[in-house]
Amino acid sequence: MSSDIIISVKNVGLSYRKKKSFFRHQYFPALKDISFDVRRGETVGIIGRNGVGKSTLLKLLSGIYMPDTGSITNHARKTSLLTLQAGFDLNLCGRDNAIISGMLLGYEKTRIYAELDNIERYSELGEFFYQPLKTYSTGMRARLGFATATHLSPEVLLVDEVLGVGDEKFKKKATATMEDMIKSDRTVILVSHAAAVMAKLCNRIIWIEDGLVQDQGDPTTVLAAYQQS
Amino acid sequence: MESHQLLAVIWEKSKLNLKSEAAINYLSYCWWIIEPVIHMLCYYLVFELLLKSGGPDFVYFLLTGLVPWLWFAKVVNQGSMSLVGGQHLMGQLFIPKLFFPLVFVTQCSIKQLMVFSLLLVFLLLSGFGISAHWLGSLAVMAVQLLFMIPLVCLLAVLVAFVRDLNYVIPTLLQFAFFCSGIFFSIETVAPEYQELFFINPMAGLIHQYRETLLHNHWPDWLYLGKILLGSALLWLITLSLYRRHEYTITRLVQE
Repeated sequence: MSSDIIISVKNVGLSYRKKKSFFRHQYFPALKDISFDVRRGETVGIIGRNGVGKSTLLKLLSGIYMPDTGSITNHARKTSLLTLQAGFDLNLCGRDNAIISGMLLGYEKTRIYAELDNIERYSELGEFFYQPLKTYSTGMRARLGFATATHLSPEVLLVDEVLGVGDEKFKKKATATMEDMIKSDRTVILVSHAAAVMAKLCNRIIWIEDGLVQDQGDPTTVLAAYQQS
Repeated sequence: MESHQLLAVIWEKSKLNLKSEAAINYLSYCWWIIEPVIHMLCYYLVFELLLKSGGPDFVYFLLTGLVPWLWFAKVVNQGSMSLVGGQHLMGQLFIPKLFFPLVFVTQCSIKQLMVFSLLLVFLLLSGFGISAHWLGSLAVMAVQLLFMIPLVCLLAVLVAFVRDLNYVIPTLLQFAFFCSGIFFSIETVAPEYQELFFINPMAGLIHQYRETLLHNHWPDWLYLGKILLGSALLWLITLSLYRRHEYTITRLVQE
């Protein structure tokens, strides 16, 4: 693993706004002052209680939001959230949905076409790949979403609790794929409540509490401290 | 995302939206034609048969006004809500926000090409000789498109900031409909007010469509140039708004 820094988060803060009355808003700080670095090839886990701003942080890292304060420097060519079923349209067939989803994620059409056979095979949809999504079961949709998202994955992958989709058999396959992706040279930032999974997959854990980084470092130590708190 | 990639995804999404729209109806793509025809029949019934307001060529006069207007109204109506409607996708991945209104403009314009071709066929069958001046109507169409793009992108971002505008736009459109000389000729308006009418670009453009299609005249290039200039200015303002608020919009529409 090389130790060069691919993403650097410095004093990042973000508040959500809620309308209070005519022209007046109330602000809720989701993240107050977050700083950390991510090295190339590293798998970083982010833990914290519900509503602590973990998903907001992933949205900041993927460029969906901009921080209100502080800055994020990202040297990766592409960083995106592993989004299942992004931009899916129920009236279109699996193939069309895979194409548009990939294009929305910023991939060239030629690259997507090159992956279509693999997506079709991996999703195990058979003839349904050419049928409208509205004829799919929830599990089938999830399979297509997962196949598309994992076959077109970026240099830095942000994962928000998506381990395990579809039926038992597919869930095993999906988990194995995720684990392979995470263990590879790819840089992954993972949000999950499953401590065992985090301990197994991550090189480092960042614990967020009350909008601040409470602790970060070795998974076993940080997870133990988090569970005791 | 590079601009050529953005254009590619706008094009693909527009095509797929049309495919998706067609997939839910029994008559599928036929609705591209049936819908405007029904619309036109209604206006024809009211203005020609009930109000008897038209002259001998009223049906052609009405059609050449209605076809461009329906395109405009649809783009403005649907496009102005496009950013608010795109909130779910915006929360999932980063995409330049211009994507949302431009998809609506593109998909409505693909349909419009079809409807406009049909209008030309109808005029031909009705005995209007084909003339080189018809090419001028394509220029008018291009100017209309270039005018609508900044307008609808601007409206979409304004609606994202002040959701209440969503209630005002349909009323303004209705007002613009009555002020665009669709079912009456602007020449029937008192001369001192005629210039005021042409400040409304849609009134001017509709007049230009009629000049080229019905009267075998070339369009007033100077007038088209003025609209283009105005649209370019509007585009600069709109673009700077999108640049400045590229990230604010995502959070605004999710509030």
